[in-house]
Amino acid sequence: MKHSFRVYAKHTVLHLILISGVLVMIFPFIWGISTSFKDMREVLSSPFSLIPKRFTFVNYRNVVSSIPILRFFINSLIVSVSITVSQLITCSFSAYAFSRLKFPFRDGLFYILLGTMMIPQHVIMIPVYIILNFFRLIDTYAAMIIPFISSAFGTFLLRQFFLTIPRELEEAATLDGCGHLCFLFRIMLPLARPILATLAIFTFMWSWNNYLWPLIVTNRIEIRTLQYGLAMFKEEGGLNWGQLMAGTTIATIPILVIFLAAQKQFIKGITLTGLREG
Amino acid sequence: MKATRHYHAADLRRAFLLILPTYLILFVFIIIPIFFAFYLSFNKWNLLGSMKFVGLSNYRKLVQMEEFWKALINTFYYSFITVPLGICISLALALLLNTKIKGLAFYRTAYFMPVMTSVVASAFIWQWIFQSQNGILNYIFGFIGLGPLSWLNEPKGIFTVIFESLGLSIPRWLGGPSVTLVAISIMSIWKNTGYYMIIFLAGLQNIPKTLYEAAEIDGAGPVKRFFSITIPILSPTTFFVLIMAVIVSFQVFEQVAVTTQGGPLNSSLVLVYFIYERAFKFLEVGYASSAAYILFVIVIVLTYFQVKILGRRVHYA
Repeated sequence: MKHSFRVYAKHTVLHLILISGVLVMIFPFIWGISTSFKDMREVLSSPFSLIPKRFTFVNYRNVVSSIPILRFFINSLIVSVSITVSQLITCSFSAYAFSRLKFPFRDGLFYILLGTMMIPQHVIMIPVYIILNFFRLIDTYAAMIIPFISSAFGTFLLRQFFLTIPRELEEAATLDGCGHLCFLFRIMLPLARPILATLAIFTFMWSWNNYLWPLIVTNRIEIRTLQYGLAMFKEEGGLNWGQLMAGTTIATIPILVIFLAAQKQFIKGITLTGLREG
Repeated sequence: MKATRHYHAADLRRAFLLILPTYLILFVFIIIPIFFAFYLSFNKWNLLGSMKFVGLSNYRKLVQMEEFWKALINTFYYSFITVPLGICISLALALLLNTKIKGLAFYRTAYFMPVMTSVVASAFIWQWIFQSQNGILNYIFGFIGLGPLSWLNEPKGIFTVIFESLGLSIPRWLGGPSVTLVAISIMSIWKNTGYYMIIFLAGLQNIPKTLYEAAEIDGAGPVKRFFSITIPILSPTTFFVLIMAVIVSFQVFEQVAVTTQGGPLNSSLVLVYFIYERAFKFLEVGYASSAAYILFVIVIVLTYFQVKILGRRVHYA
């Protein structure tokens, strides 16, 4: 009895500490969301109340009518989906070559690939801008998409998984008249579904949340992504706090939904690789 | 391995086609740029006219410029605040969660939520919290009798402010990082803790339970068990998190770009923001590239020394 009481007391204290931590982590979100449902007067008069006295959608309506936020949303979707889909394809291809084919300089090429993962994006942003400018791509969707349609990280992640798939499977498939491409699409990729999901989720999250790149390579308002679009409007003083929080909520919801739906893949992705790109 | 020197022509063609897209991207957007940046750093160019080779002059100008040193010092401050605090908090949380406690999944989700959120969104929310009037942080500070601070608009050093509130004054060079930089650091710690926590948790779960049981039988108390089992076996994980946290901290940009743009009085100016401003606002491309290369060298040197020095003392399970 005495022992179990001690365990119980210990766990209560643990829970108390952890829950206060949760409050620190979650509170900013709750407060932001609550602010987005208050009208302007209430935002100023009682900014700290968590439950709006007069629940209103006016901020959402205003943010949709005063800035092209739906356009930004669609732009973010176009950019993130294009990047994610093309990375899944290109990285599967290169990972397959590195894990299943023999070719000259294979190891050397793979080391180069690993080496490029060490180079910080901020160090090369100027030359990449110049290169995109050289191809007349500045201020287009392509400028936001093309530099990221493949990645060393994705190739590395998928290769590690492909290497764990037994060779016997390949031999059996060859005997059945299944060539390389058939083997990749019919056997490897279906087996790799969980790891592909991990790569997809992280790539999508990274490109959805990316602010630096759209900031550098785009100018026209029509092709701005959500993150950049919102930041610009805040800077120009075009929005009040309630509207800003409404916009922030709109920009965050897709990611939170994906995260809550696919948590396992997230946790696995991080523990597998310590993901650097995120 | 040496015996397999002959390749099938069909395999070669296939391999070439399969890796082509990835290498094209890596080559054009990472490998060429890293050399190109090096070349640019020795030139004077405004993106429009013709490039002029100026040798080391960009670097010379850089070390003579007060603003650059300010950015460098601020970046070091930011790293000194966010890395140790971030690691301690996330390790503590991971240890608490690694106790067969109920609701692990809930806590993990909650702590991970800030990681998912974009920097822009979290910066907006925190600016709302940090407001000097109507900000909830100052409201809470008011309760415990501390004066309102203009968190994101206070160039004074944090120590200066603390001593001033006690009625003392200290020399300026002892003032420490500005209040604004501290506020930005708090925001970053909030955002990254959950991420490192997950990595620590995975490391902790890999420690075999039998080790603890054996130590307990030998009469080792919880403190002894922590220092002679947990800490040494967790060291590769800690080492990994440390390297990553330092590298990430040297690349801080978005938090600053969204909230303060380096101000007030350059008190939150960091290295990457300096590079960005020089390149894309003032069009001093060569000059910005020399600063970018200094960042590159710092990151590489830090990684190297950490691997070299810490690597020897790390226990690999």
